[in-house]
Amino acid sequence: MNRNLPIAVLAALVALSLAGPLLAPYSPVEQHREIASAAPSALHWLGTDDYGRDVLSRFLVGANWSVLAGLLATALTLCIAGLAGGVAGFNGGWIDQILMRLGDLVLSLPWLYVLIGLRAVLPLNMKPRAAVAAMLALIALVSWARPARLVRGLVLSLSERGYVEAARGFGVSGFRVFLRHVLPGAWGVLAVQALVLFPRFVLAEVTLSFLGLGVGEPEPSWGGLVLGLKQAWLLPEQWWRLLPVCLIIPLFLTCAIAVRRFRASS
Amino acid sequence: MRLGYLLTALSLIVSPSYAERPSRGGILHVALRAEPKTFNPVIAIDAPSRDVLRRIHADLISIDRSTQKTVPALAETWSQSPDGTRYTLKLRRGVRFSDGAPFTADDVVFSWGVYLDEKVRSPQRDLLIIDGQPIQCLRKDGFTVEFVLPKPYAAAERLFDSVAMLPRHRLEPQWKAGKLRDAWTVGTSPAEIAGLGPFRLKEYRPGAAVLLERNPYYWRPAPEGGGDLPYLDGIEFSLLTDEDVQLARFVSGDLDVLNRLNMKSISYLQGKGAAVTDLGPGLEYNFLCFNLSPRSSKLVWFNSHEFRAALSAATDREALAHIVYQGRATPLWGHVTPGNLLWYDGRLPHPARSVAGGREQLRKAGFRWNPEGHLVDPTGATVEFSILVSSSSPERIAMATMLQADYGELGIAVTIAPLEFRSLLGRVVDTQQFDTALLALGGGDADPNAEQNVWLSSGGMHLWNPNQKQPATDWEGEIDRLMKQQMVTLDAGERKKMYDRVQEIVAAELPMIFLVSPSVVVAQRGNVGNFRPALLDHFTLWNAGELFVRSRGADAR
Repeated sequence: MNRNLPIAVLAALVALSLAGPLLAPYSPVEQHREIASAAPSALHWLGTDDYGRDVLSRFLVGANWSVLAGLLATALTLCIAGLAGGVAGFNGGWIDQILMRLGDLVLSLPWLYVLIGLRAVLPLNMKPRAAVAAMLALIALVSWARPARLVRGLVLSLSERGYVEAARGFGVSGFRVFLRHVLPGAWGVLAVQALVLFPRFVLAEVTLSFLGLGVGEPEPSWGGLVLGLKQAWLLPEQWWRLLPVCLIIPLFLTCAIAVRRFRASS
Repeated sequence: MRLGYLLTALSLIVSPSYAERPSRGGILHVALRAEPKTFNPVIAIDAPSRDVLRRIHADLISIDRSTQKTVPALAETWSQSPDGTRYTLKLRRGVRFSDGAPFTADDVVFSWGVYLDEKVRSPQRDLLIIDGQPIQCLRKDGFTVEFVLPKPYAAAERLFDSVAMLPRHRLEPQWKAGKLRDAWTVGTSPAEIAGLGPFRLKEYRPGAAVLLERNPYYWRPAPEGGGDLPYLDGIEFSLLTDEDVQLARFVSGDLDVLNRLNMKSISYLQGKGAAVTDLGPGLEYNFLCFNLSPRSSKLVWFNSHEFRAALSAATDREALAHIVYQGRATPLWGHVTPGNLLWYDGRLPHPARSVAGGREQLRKAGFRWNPEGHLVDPTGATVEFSILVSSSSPERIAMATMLQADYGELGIAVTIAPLEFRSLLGRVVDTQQFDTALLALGGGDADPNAEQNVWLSSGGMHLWNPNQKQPATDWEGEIDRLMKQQMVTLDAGERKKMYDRVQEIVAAELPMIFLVSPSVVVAQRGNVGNFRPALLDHFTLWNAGELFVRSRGADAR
């Protein structure tokens, strides 16, 4: 299989998710209580939820938010990780010590409890998206340490390469050496980390929804759709509740395949 | 429908299982929805704490949950003076606390003093004060106490139910030091906690379980010479905040009893060896409570009667009952449910849902709609508020979601804020940091006096504006007057008239929007004997001392 195929599929899925609101056939928040918990039909392909909202529309619009949140949190995490790991590995000494100890501290934080505590102190009137954005920013802030360590290790080894020594010998400034000759070498690691972190952050939204801390009603999100599955005893009668999950799985599967391809080829 | 419930209840009373010879031993496994906040019965107001504490402690006179009548407990007999102001209670002799210390009249006098102590701020204090005067407790001899009422009191005998008798030898030092509220916390060693109930605390595993063990000194004899009670060796309350997890654990056999069943799960339980009982509408009422305290940031809107009436008019109660409770709930326009046969006021108006009527009310109060359709107040501010709801209650989250849509039709942006139950209670009762809260009350006792602390403006559970020094509004003043007056009126018909008026005022003034009363549906795995669920709380464990678990061998037989 072509190494780029999973990436292409992933890109297509992400693009589809981001275009979700344009594809949704109905309003994802409008309740039609007379058709609550309806089975899939020609009008509602994935059926309706407990309040008569179209599940397909909620899935598509929810995909937009869940995927966007995952992408933003991943980007933020990798920016922090690239900078912290790069600076620590390139400079060494006390800067390295401080940044890595800070990383240790962050790694020791139980992020779930931090989030629960954060939700308790957030203003009650905070819009659902703003609340979750705050949560995801926090996840990013406590998730940079592990990729930062990888980047640091790589930068340490790259800093001793001949071409880096040569650049230094020609009097190129440290910042420029770092930016032009060291950091590009870490792109591969950051790309793999992106593929690892992205599904993890999408799953974080699902976890938060399970705890009642995710995207609040009436906004749709994948976490909110999966939340209905907690009532597993309903599935024998209402099997269609599983359909949104079946549609979410390809995204995670493609991410996993892409990571394996990357690792195999590097 | 009512006949059906009656027949179900009757069948439970005369069921062969109740006549069955009880077996001894075994642990009853039940679920607890949230962590208990305290093991101190004087200050406990949360349901999980009370669920545990009522198995550990005992009262002087109890209300039999199945008959709703008073029955002797620690007081073996009692008599009333002709003018109805003096009650003389004869205590049982030879009763011991769970630590072996004897129970005497001194413990009763001590307990009464603690509950009445203003500094202790017990939620039961309001119940023990008549017309501003406390009920006095006098020691006549070692096993006789006299209660002196400032005025005749209508439901005096019922007052004693759930007022746990405390061990003076254990708690007096803390009380004298002014630290009784800090006594018997969830961190206290079980050995330090003593009670007179059928069980005593064995272990508390935070986040996991509360274990009770048989109280070897329990005083109540088994009926018909069946030996000592309780029959069980213990009760294990597993902390399972999620109802779905509770159901899964019940089906897998980890739990013996489900005290409150999710209506959606009833069909799922069919054919799985569960005995499901629908007792009909209970005493619980769900409501949306406005924060009308001075700390409320939305007081300007919430103080408007038209605003509250508009929200009530837009509330689709029928849909709440149908969708959230699968039709096993009754829409409500007042706080007394049809399950409370003696006190329910069927004449209260039941206006049909009307969004147009709601919009008209808002218009009258000076609210307008901006071009985007959002409601704005007379100063031009967009109207939005949050609904605080327990994150562990899927039903209330679902109701909040439906209310959000209902009020959206009025142009109001509603945010749902699910919070862990303890945080929620803290915000509503202690700090009043909320806009509105979706809560439920009821189930303690059918008599109105059980909710004195809810309806009196000075009450700690007067949820929309607690602990008022003076009633903030005229109608709260009238409720105060009626609640105090009905408390001292001995004529049952007169009392009913007064309480009907209270219901009318509350329904008209709408400090709370009443939503639905869910039916009481319970389940057991068929292995629990003497199982007699009742409409009054605790539905399934109220007779825990008499419950027994059939062994597998017995099942096979």
